Amino acid sequence: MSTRHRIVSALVRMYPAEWRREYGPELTDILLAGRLGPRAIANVFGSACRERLRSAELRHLLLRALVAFIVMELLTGASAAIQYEYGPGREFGGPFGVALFLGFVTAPMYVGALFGAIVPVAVLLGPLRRRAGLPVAAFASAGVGVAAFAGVLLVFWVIDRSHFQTFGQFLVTVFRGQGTSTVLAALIAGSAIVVSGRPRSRATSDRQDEPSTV
Amino acid sequence: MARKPRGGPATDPELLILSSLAAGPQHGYGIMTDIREFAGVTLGPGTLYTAITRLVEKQLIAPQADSGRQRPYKLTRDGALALKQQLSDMRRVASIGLTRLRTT
Repeated sequence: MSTRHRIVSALVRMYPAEWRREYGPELTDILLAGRLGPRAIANVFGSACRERLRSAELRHLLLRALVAFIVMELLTGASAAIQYEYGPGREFGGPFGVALFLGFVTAPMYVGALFGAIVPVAVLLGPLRRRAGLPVAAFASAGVGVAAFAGVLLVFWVIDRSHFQTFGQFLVTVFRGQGTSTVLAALIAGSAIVVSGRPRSRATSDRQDEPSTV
Repeated sequence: MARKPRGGPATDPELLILSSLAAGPQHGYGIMTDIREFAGVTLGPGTLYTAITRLVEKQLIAPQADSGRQRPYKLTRDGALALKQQLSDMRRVASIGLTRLRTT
């Protein structure tokens, strides 16, 4: 496969799978037939971004992320409420109110964990990614999640470091108790989200996107 | 909606594609070449397919089935009506504008 074919293939792959199934082969042939300068590449890149923003794929991913966020928020809030016996959120009354309050306090960290936890799974499944048809967007989310998780941990460390002798001790405290169970739950939930989001006939669409030899 | 290039309604990709298909069914590359010839506008491949996608969604054009990798697109009845309407509107606005220019 020539460099030109590779560039065209990469450009077409930027479009959502659903779109590629419909228009991928035509666009591929046009790009191979015409002049492929920086202007054409920028034009296709912009178009692909617009289609991505409009695609049901992205909307579904955001919806799943939102549902996961709410579930994780309630789970972490509930586990924190149990651990602290309604501690700092006592004034909100009732376990549900406390769960909601504590959940929102700790949610950013656990949302980070939710996507961050996908990374080990993604790495393990790496060679199987094509066969499993896992969406690239999930891996991008995982990367963002890891960065967010690390960022939130760092902020917590800066705020609370007077209570700990070492960063390791801080990490152990964070992950002990509710942290461990939540990360485990996040691992399961995150994996379920990724697997449920895979396109059904990716293999077929990939074949269609291959440039024709004519 | 497809992004409109600068230059006014006569460079609107959707209008240009509809006008091109008024001559008969054509595939993507043919549409692009035709538009370059009759309007002097070069649509980028991304712009072309964004506009084609929107027009198909609005059912103003339709791909012809089982035509291989390069499917020709044809104007639908709604597409023809929409094109006629848009061109009439443009003619009316152009006519008023030109008349007013002559009187000033």
